[in-house]
Amino acid sequence: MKPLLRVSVVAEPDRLKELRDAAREVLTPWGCSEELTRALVLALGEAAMNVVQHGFDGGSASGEITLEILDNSDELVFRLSDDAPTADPAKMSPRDLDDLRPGGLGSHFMRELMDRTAFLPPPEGGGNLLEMRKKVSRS
Amino acid sequence: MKCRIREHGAVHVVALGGDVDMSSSPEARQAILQSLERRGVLVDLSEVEYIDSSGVASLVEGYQVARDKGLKFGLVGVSPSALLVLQLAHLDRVFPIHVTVDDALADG
Repeated sequence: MKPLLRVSVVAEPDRLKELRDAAREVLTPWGCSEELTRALVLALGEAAMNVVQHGFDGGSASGEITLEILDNSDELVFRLSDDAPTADPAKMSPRDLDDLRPGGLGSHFMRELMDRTAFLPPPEGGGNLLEMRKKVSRS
Repeated sequence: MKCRIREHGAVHVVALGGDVDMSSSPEARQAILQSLERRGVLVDLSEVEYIDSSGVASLVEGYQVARDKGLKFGLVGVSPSALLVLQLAHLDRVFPIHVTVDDALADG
Protein backbone atom coordinates (compact mmCIF):
# COMPACT_ATOMS: atom_id res chain seq x y z
CA MET A 1 0.00 0.00 0.00
CA LYS A 2 1.26 3.43 -0.91
CA PRO A 3 1.15 6.04 1.86
CA LEU A 4 -0.67 9.22 0.87
CA LEU A 5 -0.78 11.03 4.20
CA ARG A 6 0.33 10.78 7.79
CA VAL A 7 -0.65 13.61 10.11
CA SER A 8 -0.88 13.90 13.89
CA VAL A 9 -2.71 16.48 15.99
CA VAL A 10 -3.29 17.07 19.68
CA ALA A 11 -6.59 15.40 20.64
CA GLU A 12 -8.60 18.58 21.23
CA PRO A 13 -11.87 19.69 19.62
CA ASP A 14 -10.43 22.76 17.90
CA ARG A 15 -7.59 20.77 16.31
CA LEU A 16 -9.80 18.35 14.37
CA LYS A 17 -10.20 20.77 11.47
CA GLU A 18 -6.47 20.31 10.77
CA LEU A 19 -7.00 16.57 10.28
CA ARG A 20 -9.98 17.12 8.01
CA ASP A 21 -8.22 19.78 5.94
CA ALA A 22 -5.14 17.57 5.55
CA ALA A 23 -7.31 14.68 4.33
CA ARG A 24 -9.19 16.94 1.91
CA GLU A 25 -5.94 18.25 0.44
CA VAL A 26 -4.85 14.69 -0.38
CA LEU A 27 -8.14 13.09 -1.48
CA THR A 28 -9.27 15.46 -4.23
CA PRO A 29 -5.88 15.65 -6.02
CA TRP A 30 -5.63 11.85 -5.71
CA GLY A 31 -8.79 11.51 -7.79
CA CYS A 32 -11.78 11.52 -5.46
CA SER A 33 -14.75 13.50 -6.71
CA GLU A 34 -15.81 16.52 -4.68
CA GLU A 35 -18.82 14.55 -3.44
CA LEU A 36 -16.76 11.54 -2.39
CA THR A 37 -14.16 13.74 -0.69
CA ARG A 38 -16.96 15.38 1.29
CA ALA A 39 -18.29 11.98 2.39
CA LEU A 40 -14.88 10.56 3.33
CA VAL A 41 -13.89 13.69 5.26
CA LEU A 42 -17.17 13.48 7.19
CA ALA A 43 -16.48 9.86 8.16
CA LEU A 44 -12.94 10.75 9.25
CA GLY A 45 -14.19 13.77 11.17
CA GLU A 46 -16.76 11.66 13.01
CA ALA A 47 -14.17 9.04 13.88
CA ALA A 48 -11.74 11.67 15.19
CA MET A 49 -14.51 13.36 17.17
CA ASN A 50 -15.36 10.01 18.79
CA VAL A 51 -11.74 9.68 19.90
CA VAL A 52 -11.70 13.14 21.50
CA GLN A 53 -15.14 12.69 23.10
CA HIS A 54 -14.79 9.18 24.46
CA GLY A 55 -11.04 8.56 24.54
CA PHE A 56 -9.88 11.91 25.86
CA ASP A 57 -12.91 13.14 27.85
CA GLY A 58 -13.85 15.78 25.32
CA GLY A 59 -10.28 17.06 25.09
CA SER A 60 -9.62 17.51 28.79
CA ALA A 61 -7.24 14.51 28.86
CA SER A 62 -4.04 14.97 26.89
CA GLY A 63 -3.12 12.84 23.92
CA GLU A 64 -2.60 12.68 20.20
CA ILE A 65 -4.52 11.40 17.18
CA THR A 66 -2.76 10.22 14.03
CA LEU A 67 -4.43 9.80 10.66
CA GLU A 68 -2.88 7.73 7.90
CA ILE A 69 -4.32 7.43 4.41
CA LEU A 70 -3.04 4.61 2.21
CA ASP A 71 -3.57 3.94 -1.49
CA ASN A 72 -4.42 0.24 -1.93
CA SER A 73 -4.94 0.30 -5.71
CA ASP A 74 -8.74 0.45 -6.11
CA GLU A 75 -9.30 1.11 -2.43
CA LEU A 76 -8.43 3.82 0.08
CA VAL A 77 -7.44 2.72 3.57
CA PHE A 78 -7.78 5.11 6.51
CA ARG A 79 -6.13 4.38 9.84
CA LEU A 80 -6.85 6.50 12.87
CA SER A 81 -4.71 5.75 15.90
CA ASP A 82 -4.55 7.30 19.34
CA ASP A 83 -3.00 6.77 22.72
CA ALA A 84 -6.24 6.89 24.71
CA PRO A 85 -7.31 3.98 26.93
CA THR A 86 -8.35 1.05 24.73
CA ALA A 87 -12.07 1.34 23.92
CA ASP A 88 -14.73 -1.37 23.83
CA PRO A 89 -16.13 -1.40 20.26
CA ALA A 90 -19.33 -3.06 21.53
CA LYS A 91 -20.24 0.23 23.21
CA MET A 92 -20.10 2.16 19.93
CA SER A 93 -23.12 0.78 18.11
CA PRO A 94 -25.21 3.33 16.19
CA ARG A 95 -28.64 4.32 17.45
CA ASP A 96 -31.99 3.82 15.73
CA LEU A 97 -32.56 6.75 13.34
CA ASP A 98 -36.27 6.81 14.13
CA ASP A 99 -35.40 7.77 17.68
CA LEU A 100 -35.26 11.55 17.12
CA ARG A 101 -32.86 12.98 19.67
CA PRO A 102 -29.63 14.96 19.62
CA GLY A 103 -26.46 12.86 19.41
CA GLY A 104 -25.51 9.27 18.68
CA LEU A 105 -25.24 9.58 14.90
CA GLY A 106 -21.46 9.49 14.39
CA SER A 107 -21.07 5.70 14.24
CA HIS A 108 -24.00 5.47 11.83
CA PHE A 109 -22.36 8.02 9.48
CA MET A 110 -19.04 6.13 9.51
CA ARG A 111 -20.69 2.83 8.66
CA GLU A 112 -22.84 4.36 5.93
CA LEU A 113 -19.97 6.22 4.27
CA MET A 114 -17.25 3.56 4.41
CA ASP A 115 -17.27 -0.02 3.09
CA ARG A 116 -15.61 -1.41 6.20
CA THR A 117 -14.96 -0.06 9.66
CA ALA A 118 -13.07 -2.14 12.20
CA PHE A 119 -10.92 -1.79 15.25
CA LEU A 120 -7.60 -3.54 14.69
CA PRO A 121 -5.58 -4.95 17.59
CA PRO A 122 -4.26 -1.91 19.47
CA PRO A 123 -0.62 -0.98 19.02
CA GLU A 124 1.85 -2.25 21.60
CA GLY A 125 1.59 -0.05 24.67
CA GLY A 126 -2.18 0.44 24.37
CA GLY A 127 -4.30 2.95 22.55
CA ASN A 128 -6.68 2.31 19.68
CA LEU A 129 -6.38 1.68 15.95
CA LEU A 130 -9.47 2.16 13.81
CA GLU A 131 -9.29 1.13 10.17
CA MET A 132 -11.81 2.20 7.55
CA ARG A 133 -11.77 1.13 3.91
CA LYS A 134 -13.51 2.47 0.84
CA LYS A 135 -13.45 1.16 -2.74
CA VAL A 136 -12.86 4.11 -5.01
CA SER A 137 -12.93 4.69 -8.75
CA ARG A 138 -10.89 7.77 -9.51
CA SER A 139 -12.65 10.57 -11.36
CA MET B 1 -17.45 28.93 12.37
CA LYS B 2 -19.38 32.04 11.48
CA CYS B 3 -22.66 32.67 13.28
CA ARG B 4 -24.89 35.67 12.61
CA ILE B 5 -28.38 36.32 13.94
CA ARG B 6 -30.80 38.76 12.33
CA GLU B 7 -34.49 39.51 12.54
CA HIS B 8 -36.53 38.87 9.43
CA GLY B 9 -40.23 39.54 9.80
CA ALA B 10 -41.65 37.21 12.41
CA VAL B 11 -38.56 35.03 12.75
CA HIS B 12 -34.89 35.08 13.65
CA VAL B 13 -32.53 33.91 10.94
CA VAL B 14 -29.47 32.16 12.37
CA ALA B 15 -26.88 32.04 9.59
CA LEU B 16 -24.12 29.50 10.15
CA GLY B 17 -20.98 29.30 8.02
CA GLY B 18 -17.65 27.51 7.79
CA ASP B 19 -17.15 24.39 9.90
CA VAL B 20 -19.85 23.45 12.42
CA ASP B 21 -18.04 20.79 14.40
CA MET B 22 -17.38 19.64 17.94
CA SER B 23 -15.57 22.87 18.82
CA SER B 24 -18.18 25.25 17.41
CA SER B 25 -21.52 23.44 17.72
CA PRO B 26 -22.06 24.65 21.33
CA GLU B 27 -22.06 28.23 19.94
CA ALA B 28 -24.51 27.23 17.19
CA ARG B 29 -26.74 25.51 19.75
CA GLN B 30 -26.74 28.56 22.01
CA ALA B 31 -27.55 30.91 19.10
CA ILE B 32 -30.48 28.73 17.99
CA LEU B 33 -31.92 28.22 21.49
CA GLN B 34 -31.56 31.89 22.47
CA SER B 35 -33.21 32.95 19.24
CA LEU B 36 -36.10 30.59 20.00
CA GLU B 37 -36.80 32.34 23.30
CA ARG B 38 -38.93 34.98 21.60
CA ARG B 39 -39.75 33.87 18.05
CA GLY B 40 -39.40 31.16 15.45
CA VAL B 41 -36.06 30.37 13.85
CA LEU B 42 -34.83 29.65 10.35
CA VAL B 43 -31.28 28.30 10.24
CA ASP B 44 -29.43 29.40 7.09
CA LEU B 45 -26.92 26.70 6.13
CA SER B 46 -25.88 28.13 2.76
CA GLU B 47 -22.33 28.95 3.88
CA VAL B 48 -21.70 25.76 5.82
CA GLU B 49 -18.61 24.01 4.48
CA TYR B 50 -18.62 21.15 7.01
CA ILE B 51 -21.13 20.00 9.59
CA ASP B 52 -20.97 16.81 11.59
CA SER B 53 -23.22 14.92 13.99
CA SER B 54 -22.54 17.42 16.78
CA GLY B 55 -23.81 20.27 14.57
CA VAL B 56 -26.83 18.22 13.56
CA ALA B 57 -27.56 17.59 17.24
CA SER B 58 -27.92 21.38 17.70
CA LEU B 59 -30.45 21.47 14.87
CA VAL B 60 -32.41 18.54 16.35
CA GLU B 61 -32.52 20.27 19.72
CA GLY B 62 -33.74 23.51 18.12
CA TYR B 63 -36.41 21.62 16.20
CA GLN B 64 -37.66 19.93 19.37
CA VAL B 65 -37.72 23.14 21.44
CA ALA B 66 -39.59 24.98 18.66
CA ARG B 67 -42.10 22.14 18.36
CA ASP B 68 -42.72 22.16 22.13
CA LYS B 69 -43.26 25.95 22.10
CA GLY B 70 -45.36 25.94 18.94
CA LEU B 71 -42.81 28.11 17.11
CA LYS B 72 -41.63 27.96 13.53
CA PHE B 73 -38.37 26.11 12.82
CA GLY B 74 -36.82 25.36 9.46
CA LEU B 75 -33.66 25.18 7.42
CA VAL B 76 -32.87 27.36 4.41
CA GLY B 77 -30.17 27.36 1.72
CA VAL B 78 -28.88 23.91 2.70
CA SER B 79 -25.31 23.54 1.36
CA PRO B 80 -24.12 20.23 -0.20
CA SER B 81 -22.16 19.36 2.97
CA ALA B 82 -25.18 20.00 5.16
CA LEU B 83 -27.49 18.06 2.85
CA LEU B 84 -25.19 15.03 2.97
CA VAL B 85 -25.41 14.90 6.77
CA LEU B 86 -29.16 15.53 6.88
CA GLN B 87 -29.79 12.74 4.35
CA LEU B 88 -27.55 10.29 6.23
CA ALA B 89 -29.46 11.00 9.43
CA HIS B 90 -32.80 10.85 7.55
CA LEU B 91 -33.47 14.35 8.89
CA ASP B 92 -34.23 15.72 5.42
CA ARG B 93 -37.60 14.00 6.00
CA VAL B 94 -38.07 15.67 9.39
CA PHE B 95 -36.94 19.31 9.08
CA PRO B 96 -38.85 21.74 6.89
CA ILE B 97 -36.27 22.71 4.21
CA HIS B 98 -36.61 25.77 1.99
CA VAL B 99 -34.46 27.39 -0.67
CA THR B 100 -34.68 30.92 0.77
CA VAL B 101 -35.93 32.70 3.88
CA ASP B 102 -38.74 34.28 1.87
CA ASP B 103 -39.85 30.85 0.64
CA ALA B 104 -39.95 29.61 4.22
CA LEU B 105 -42.03 32.59 5.36
CA ALA B 106 -44.39 32.27 2.40
CA ASP B 107 -44.94 28.64 3.42
CA GLY B 108 -46.56 29.87 6.65
